[in-house]
Amino acid sequence: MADGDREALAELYDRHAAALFRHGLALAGSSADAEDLVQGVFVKLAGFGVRLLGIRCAGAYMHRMLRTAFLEGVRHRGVAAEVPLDTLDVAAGTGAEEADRLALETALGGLPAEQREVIVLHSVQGLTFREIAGMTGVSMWTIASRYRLGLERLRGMLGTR
Amino acid sequence: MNDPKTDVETRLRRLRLAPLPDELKRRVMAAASLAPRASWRDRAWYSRAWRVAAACTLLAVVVVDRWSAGAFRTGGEATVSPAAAERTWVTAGVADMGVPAEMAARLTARAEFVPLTAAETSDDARAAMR
Repeated sequence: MADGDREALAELYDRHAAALFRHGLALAGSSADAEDLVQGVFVKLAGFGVRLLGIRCAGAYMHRMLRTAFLEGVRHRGVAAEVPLDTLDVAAGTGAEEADRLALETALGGLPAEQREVIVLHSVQGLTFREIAGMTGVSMWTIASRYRLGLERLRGMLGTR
Repeated sequence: MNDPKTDVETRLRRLRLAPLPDELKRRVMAAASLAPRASWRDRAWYSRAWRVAAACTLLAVVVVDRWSAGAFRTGGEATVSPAAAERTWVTAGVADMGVPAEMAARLTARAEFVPLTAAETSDDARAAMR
């Protein structure tokens, strides 16, 4: 990619875009915001030029770029909006199950972004705390702590419904 | 409805995140403008092998420089203190006079060494003493 090769950019996209999109979704909640975050990462990376040669682990680097972009956006906007998590609209069997799913998505949207990030990446995507720590650059203990606090908060929110 | 106190994690695991939209790749490829091709200088600068080689060369130059300056020499040309040199000189002089070695050593040990000037320690002074 440092040679200005568009094929390399396409290959990088194919390899990392899906995981980045899910990470963006875990942070931002909405698909539209996650798309913007992913696009922002690739556009910025393409403009890096020779600095690309100094990047050792592209995957982890891009996840951190995405995370930084999101947190900077939140800082500029002030308080992050509570957006229900965008999930795949699977054909729910019953109305109760559908309502249950919607309640869970809304509750997830009400969590602080950093807690939602860990909960979605761990429980929904099945990543380990170690993997999440590698992606975010945050220590594994902090990740575990955020998960526990987020889960407690989620249980509280759902328990009051 | 499920009990939220016990199975929040189970319910979370059942969620499926929205998939990556297909048109996003087209958007990304259209928006991304790649920087110009990297030069060989940039490649060398960002190459770990090049950096290690440069560091090793620098270290080798410093070591060779220090070696040639004698920084690593141990022993060999040991410096002799003026007092020891004078003692040796007196011992040799007494021995030249035909005094037995044991007595020469005693005389040298008893001798009172007075700091001498450069002229006195010269060969002329030694000859005059003999």
